[in-house]
Amino acid sequence: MKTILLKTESIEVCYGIIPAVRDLSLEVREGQIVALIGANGAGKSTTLKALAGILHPRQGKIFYKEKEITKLSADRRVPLGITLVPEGRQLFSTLTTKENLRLGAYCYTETEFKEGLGWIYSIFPILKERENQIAGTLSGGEQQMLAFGRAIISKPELLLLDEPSLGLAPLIIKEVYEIIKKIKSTGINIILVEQNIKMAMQVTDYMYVMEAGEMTIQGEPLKVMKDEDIRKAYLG
Amino acid sequence: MVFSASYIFQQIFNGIVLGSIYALLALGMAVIYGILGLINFAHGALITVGAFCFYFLFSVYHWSFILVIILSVALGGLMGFVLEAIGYRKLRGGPGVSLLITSLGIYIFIENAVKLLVSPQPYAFSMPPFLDKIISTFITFRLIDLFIIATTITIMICFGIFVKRNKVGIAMRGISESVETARMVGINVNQVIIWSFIVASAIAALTGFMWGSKYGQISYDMGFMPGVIAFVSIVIGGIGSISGAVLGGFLIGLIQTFSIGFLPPGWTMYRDAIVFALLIIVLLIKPTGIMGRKESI
Repeated sequence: MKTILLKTESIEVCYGIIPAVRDLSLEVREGQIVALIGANGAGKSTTLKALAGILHPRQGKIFYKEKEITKLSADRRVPLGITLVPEGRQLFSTLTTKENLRLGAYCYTETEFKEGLGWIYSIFPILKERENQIAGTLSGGEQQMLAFGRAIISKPELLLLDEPSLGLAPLIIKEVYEIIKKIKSTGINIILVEQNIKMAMQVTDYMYVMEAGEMTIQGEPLKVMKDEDIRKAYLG
Repeated sequence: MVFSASYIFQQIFNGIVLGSIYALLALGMAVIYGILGLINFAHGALITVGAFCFYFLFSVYHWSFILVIILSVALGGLMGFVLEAIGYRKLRGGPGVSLLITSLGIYIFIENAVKLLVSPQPYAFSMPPFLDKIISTFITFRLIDLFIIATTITIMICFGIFVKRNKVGIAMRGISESVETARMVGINVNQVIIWSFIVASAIAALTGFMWGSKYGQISYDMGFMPGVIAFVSIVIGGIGSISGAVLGGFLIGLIQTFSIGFLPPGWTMYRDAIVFALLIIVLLIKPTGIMGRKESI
């Protein structure tokens, strides 16, 4: 069995006093793409935000490489190797493509950034063309690539993807999933939150299904898909 | 009334000198506003601190000019650091108005502390004789005027490069767009806020020297009006826009100078009132200021 990269022990995450995620335990092992799936409001994004350090669990613990990181803030988790690509991309829309990437590599020196920039441009050649363009004026697909680029330039070991296909045209969604495979092939582990279960199935090694803030089913994609309820709920 | 060309150019030149000081103050205030959403009224107090630091070290203790300038700027930066750490850091994340009230409190505290330490009397401010040298050609000016303009331009250029090329500078712009996202991508927001206060306050302390040399007199309450006018500059220029704030500063400097130079003699006393009238007009015509973006809903 491969080593565990990240583990949560029955975390409870709340918005104010309302718990959005209850008693959630999950694991990510080296070399995996793990998918969190479920309907709107099931608590997937909330879980991801807790893993990124944007929200903090009220109960339970989060371990990363056997170190507890439950209380660590988001900006401290990035240097450790955990980076989030948020839902809706959240680029710095008044900054240029290159400046967005510079901030993604905030914990690195200028020389290290230059190297990283070359690497990112080799994965996303279009970003080099758009280098000095204001991020807010990029197309939807380009913005998604920039959001990926800004995240992976920090050289994460664990990338958290929050609904990367949301609001994109079907053709671009395919492209996004090609990119996800490409990112995986560079050795980055991924936790993917997705409503588009068919797309998620193509790339993931392990699935967690959430419903109303709790985990219901987990397992390898083919096993999860055999579950009668899941088939009904997601594949019709 | 007819004005000669040299008189008009003289007024423009004077306006640029005064505008330079306002622009530098507005720059610092705009940086802090961009990051914290705070109108830092304490900013004006650092003018006073910088001016008195220069006065004592240079005129009383006769230290060398360059060293005293460096020390005044350093003291300004240090005070920015301390004020942020003890005044503002704990209040962040709370209601914006508590930061605003704290900044007013800090202004009042520093003004009165200076009053206690140095007496309420104004002091005659002296600068090195070479800066006092008068040059008379087409227009008449002192070397200090050139020093003010040149220093301002240098600071503006350096700052422009800093926010375009340096990661902390880019982060300042990123944070003013979204603190949340900045944290998420791994920016140490605290560190950037601290640097903003240090840079803005150091510049404010330097303008203390400029103000003192220009008017030849300093007092414990000298920072109040320039501080308020810097605030007006960023509103006129467009809140949230640093270049707007700088533009606003120059604009007010010119208008104040013109209101003294071109209006009948009795109008001089209205020079501050004219600034606020301008503010009202701008707010009526374009509430977001000259270079302000439309608020997104």
